[in-house]
Amino acid sequence: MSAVAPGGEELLAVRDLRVVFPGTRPEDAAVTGVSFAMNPGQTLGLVGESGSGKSTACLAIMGLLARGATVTGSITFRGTELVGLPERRLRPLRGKDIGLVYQDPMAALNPVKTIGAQLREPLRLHLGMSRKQADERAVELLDRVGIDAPRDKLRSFPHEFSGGMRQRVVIAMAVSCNPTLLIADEPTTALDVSVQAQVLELLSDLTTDLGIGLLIVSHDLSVVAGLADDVAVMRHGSVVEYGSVHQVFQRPAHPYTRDLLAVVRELEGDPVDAGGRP
Amino acid sequence: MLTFLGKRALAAVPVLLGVVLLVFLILRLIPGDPAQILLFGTKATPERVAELHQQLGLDRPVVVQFLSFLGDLLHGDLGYSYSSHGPVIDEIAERLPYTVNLAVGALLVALLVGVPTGILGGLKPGSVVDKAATAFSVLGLAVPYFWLAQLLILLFAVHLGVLPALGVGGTAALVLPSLSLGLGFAAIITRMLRAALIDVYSSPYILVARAKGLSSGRVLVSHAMRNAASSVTTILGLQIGNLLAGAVATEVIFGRPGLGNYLVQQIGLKDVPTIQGIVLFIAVAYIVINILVDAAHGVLDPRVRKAWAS
Repeated sequence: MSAVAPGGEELLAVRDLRVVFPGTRPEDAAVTGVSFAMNPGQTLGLVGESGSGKSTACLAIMGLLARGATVTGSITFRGTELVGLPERRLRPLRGKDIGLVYQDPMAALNPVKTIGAQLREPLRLHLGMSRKQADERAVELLDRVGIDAPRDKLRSFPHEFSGGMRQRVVIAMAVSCNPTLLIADEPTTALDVSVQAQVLELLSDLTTDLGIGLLIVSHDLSVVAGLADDVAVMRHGSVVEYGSVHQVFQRPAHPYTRDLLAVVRELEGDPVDAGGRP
Repeated sequence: MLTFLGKRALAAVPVLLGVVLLVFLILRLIPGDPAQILLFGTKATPERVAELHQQLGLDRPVVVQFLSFLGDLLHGDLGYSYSSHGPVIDEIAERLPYTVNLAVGALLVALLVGVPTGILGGLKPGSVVDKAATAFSVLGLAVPYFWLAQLLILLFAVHLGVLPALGVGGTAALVLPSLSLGLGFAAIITRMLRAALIDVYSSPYILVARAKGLSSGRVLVSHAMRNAASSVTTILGLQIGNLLAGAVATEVIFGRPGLGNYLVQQIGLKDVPTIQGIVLFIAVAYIVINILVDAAHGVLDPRVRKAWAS
């Protein structure tokens, strides 16, 4: 388990990514010089404090940044360069090959559409299913993510679901078309602590079973530690440390990573000194 | 839904009673004796005035007059016009179609102009299109409809001579009144829809919908518009009331023989039963429209339906 070597059969390779939002100076780039790579089926954790550019990097991969944002560098997904790819070529990838689990499940589902209608959308669009086929598949998916009585739930609205259930629906939606890459942006931050562990376990099981590469973004090192193969630590829009989980957590090279780890250990009441700290 | 409509209809009863009382009192408080006005131009001896007072029931105490008015109202009887002597309800029914046509025409103008400009502005805030849409809506809100009516008459009826300025000759005669009454309303819809869309587009569920691979057209139609529409409908209901008020002046300007024009004439004649009847009718229409708009709100948004149930 180590960081992916450049070249080879990568699922995703981000090289020297730079994002500048309109109205900001070039030196205030939201993301600058970010590089990382993932093999198929691998899990990469992107950690860092809020505002460090993690989410921006993820949205850049899906081409979903606000209009006018300047993206430079290279993002290759299964050999296709995504930077500069026109919208009509990006769209078939979204929801089909790349799924997104968004940070706030309370707001990630459209409040006026039924769960069933929202689950059917990608299935009918990308897989050309009939309404009936899509309904059957939606029931399977809801069942797979651990929602009881899935058939009855198709006609429910999001406000009838708890936060944890909504996030399960969002996850079901994101994996519905068998993507090869799943981007989970702070998937547990908005959830109760008791639910967080269940949702993480679901993400881990699903991606392992279906062989999906998972790019998980979190400000919480403990989330990433349990799930990821590799970790990239971001700060102020740059990757300050990148390597396998083992490497980064046992022998953090960057002082920022050491600080982050120390905080986690302090909170967990673990007296063990952060590895590598003199 | 039925429970909701029933509840709202019940809640409207005290409002209606208040309107009845208010209309009744105002008409008695303003100066001018209906009998004197009816006898204008004839030899109004005190005896004839007293006789007329008795005929019209104006010699009774105000409380008795009110209770008798209320009693008739409960039987669906709005009384008889002082001027035409016909039943008020028939006078209303005869003129109502002209007013309804005008209101529907103005509403169509408002929706056909307001919805597209609101969408254009809301989709690309800050763009040239948005600035043009905003300029239009500011202008539409700032220009009074009765002045706009005169400008439209000058341009289309006097200079170009393509549309009639007065009368009720078919659809063509409806164009200018509908435009003058509808454009201000369109401006309000533009602003509301623009703001609602900008708000909706900043929601995570729009990002998630795009992440599912939906085209921007699909995101707009099946995700954004329904959410934006539910917040615009509320404003729509309130504005339809203003539309009815605006119809009064618009009918006078364009010489349309609708309810509003008739109301103005009868105020001049102090035709108390007719004025009462028309004002009450407009109040009922306003209340009914608002209940229907609230019901539409519930159809659009399941969370509103949930609030009804609880």
